[in-house]
Amino acid sequence: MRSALKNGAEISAPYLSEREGGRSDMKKLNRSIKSDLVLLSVLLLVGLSLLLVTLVFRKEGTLISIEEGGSFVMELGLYENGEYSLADGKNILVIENGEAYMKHADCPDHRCVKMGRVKYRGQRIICLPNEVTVAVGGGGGVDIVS
Amino acid sequence: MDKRIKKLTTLSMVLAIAMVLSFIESRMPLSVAIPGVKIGFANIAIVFALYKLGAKEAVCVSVVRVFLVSFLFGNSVSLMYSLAGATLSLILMLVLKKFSLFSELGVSVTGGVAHNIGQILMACVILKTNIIAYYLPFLLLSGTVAGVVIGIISAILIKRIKT
Repeated sequence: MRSALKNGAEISAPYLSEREGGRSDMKKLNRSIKSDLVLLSVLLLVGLSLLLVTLVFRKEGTLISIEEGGSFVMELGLYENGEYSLADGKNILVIENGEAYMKHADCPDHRCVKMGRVKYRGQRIICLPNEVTVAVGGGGGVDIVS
Repeated sequence: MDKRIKKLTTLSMVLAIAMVLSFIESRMPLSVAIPGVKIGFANIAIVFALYKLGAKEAVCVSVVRVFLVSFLFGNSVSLMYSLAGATLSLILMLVLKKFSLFSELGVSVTGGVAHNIGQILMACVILKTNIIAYYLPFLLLSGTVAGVVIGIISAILIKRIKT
C-alpha cells in the first residue's frame, strides 16, 4: 500500500482491480486509495480513542443486575459470593470477591462463558441465545461507560 | 450461450461459495467473546457480487445466504442478528459504491464495521438494553481489521476472476 502511494501514478497495489483507460482513471484510483486510507485511519483512531477512554475512566462496580428477556430479574452485591442459576438453570453465574463470571451455559457457542470475569461498571456478560444479560453497576458517581 | 442461464449459474455459484464461507466461519474456533464480532468471510462473496455482477445481484445473494445459512446452521434468533447485520452492511456498501469515493477496500471495511454494528443494534432491540456504547470500540476496531483483510481478498478476486 505504501509503495503505491509513493510512486504516485504507477499504482500497482495487488488488491486493486484493473481499470481500463488513461490518466483520469489513474487519478481516480489514486484518490480512492487516499480516501480508503482516510476512512481506515478515522475508524481506527475513533476505535482506539473510545477504547482508551473506557480503560481510563472505568471504575469498579458494587452491584450486579440481572435481566432475562429484557426484564429485570434481580440485583446482587458484587461481594455476595455464590453460584446463581439463571434462565431456568440454562446459565450459571458465579460471584466471587468483587468479580462475576458465567460458569456454565447450555448454548453451543459459549460466548458468555468466554467473556470471562467482569468487575468494572458498565461491563456486561451477555448470553444471546438465552437472552440473559448480567451488568455491573453501582459504585456512585456518573456512569460513563453505559 | 443463453445469457440468462449464464447469469443464473454465476449467481448460484457465488451463493454457494458464500454459504461455504459462512459454514467455515461458523466452525472456526476463534469466536471472540463479544457479540457481533466476526471475520465475515461471506462478505468476500458479497463484495465480489457487488462489483462483478451488480447491486441487485449482490442483494439477492446476501439475502438468500442469510436465510439459508440460518435455516441450516442457526435458529430464528441468529436469523434476526444476521439479517440486521447483512442489511445495514449491504445498504452502506451500495451507497458507497454508488459514490465511487472509495475502492473495494474502503467499501469492504465499511461493510465489515456496519455488519458488526447492525448485529449489536439488533442485540440492543432483543435484549432491550443499551450495550452499543460499551462494545462500540471493539466493534469498530475488529470490523476495520477484518474489513481490510476481506477487502484485499475480494479486490484480488475481482481483478483475477472473469465472469
